[in-house]
Amino acid sequence: MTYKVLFCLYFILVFFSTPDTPCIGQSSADYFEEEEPIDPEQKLKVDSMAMEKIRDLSKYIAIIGSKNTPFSEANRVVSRALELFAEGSVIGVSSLDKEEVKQYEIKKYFERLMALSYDQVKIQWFDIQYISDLEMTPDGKYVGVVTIYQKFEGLQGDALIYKDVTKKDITIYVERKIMQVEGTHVNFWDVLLGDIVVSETVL
Amino acid sequence: MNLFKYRTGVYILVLLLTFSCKTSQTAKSDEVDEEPQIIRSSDIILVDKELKDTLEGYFRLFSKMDLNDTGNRDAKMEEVFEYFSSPDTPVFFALYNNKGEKYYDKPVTISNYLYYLYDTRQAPHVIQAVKLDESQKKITQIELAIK
Repeated sequence: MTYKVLFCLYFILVFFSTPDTPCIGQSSADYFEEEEPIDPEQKLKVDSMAMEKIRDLSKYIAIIGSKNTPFSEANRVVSRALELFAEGSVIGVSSLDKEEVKQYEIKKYFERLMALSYDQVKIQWFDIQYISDLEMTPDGKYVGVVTIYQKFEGLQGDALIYKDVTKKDITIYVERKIMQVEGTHVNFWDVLLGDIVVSETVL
Repeated sequence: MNLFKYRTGVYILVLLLTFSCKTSQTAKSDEVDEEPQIIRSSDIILVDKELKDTLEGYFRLFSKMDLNDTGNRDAKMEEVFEYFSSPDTPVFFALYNNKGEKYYDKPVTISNYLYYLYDTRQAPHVIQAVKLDESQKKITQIELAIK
């Protein structure tokens, strides 16, 4: 009886001692979960890189919304903009004459932006800053929140028909990953934007 | 009873030895996995100044192009692609070096990088290194860094 117990114990220990080898494309949450957070100097570079993605998005939105942008070009830029977002992310849309804030999937939002019935649309983002610093979560990812102000102007001819300024909060997810490019393993920081929430709309 | 204790002792010893060997193998395996990865210095041919100046000139050009002149943009893209093995040649953005291991922003293709410059109206990077193909004529990888 004792031998059986010992053999069982032996096989259990051997079985569970098999190493977990990280694979290409495996989530960094598994691979880096025991790592210490990155040092402050390196984190600044990751912060800055993540912030740059927000600035890129603001430029993409301005192009997509502009009536000067050809349809095919707008569609191309939509594809680039969608690459910035985590799957399933939504964006809140508000207006001065409605209390309700509608939520749209990001792709749907871009399609609506392209189809707005103004002759001209001008969209500008400003005062972009972190309101919640990137913090490491238990699964090894970093999460932060950036706030932006969006100035929206819709014109018919030269006449300004609608104008508002909206404060929006954007969740940012940052994750260390490994990918294989032409046989080479590359460590990289993957930045994805999450939901965009409207926190205030003013004239 | 003594025989039983002796056998039990032997089994425990075998168990410990085996487990110890396994742990050692695991550690060795991890060492191999955690070797410095990505592009090694031996793989990199530092870019010559003429090529660097030419390509960085193109990058600046794309950041200043008229957003409505897609014909000119596409023609210039074809010119840039002449320097690369394909429009899908990977572009790496170096962020920092941690104990000999480099960390990057998410790589893109040279094609998408040129669109990025064009769409965002900026050329914030300099060329740090390139990797050439066997003929030493076409770029197969390019590494950039923020100015």
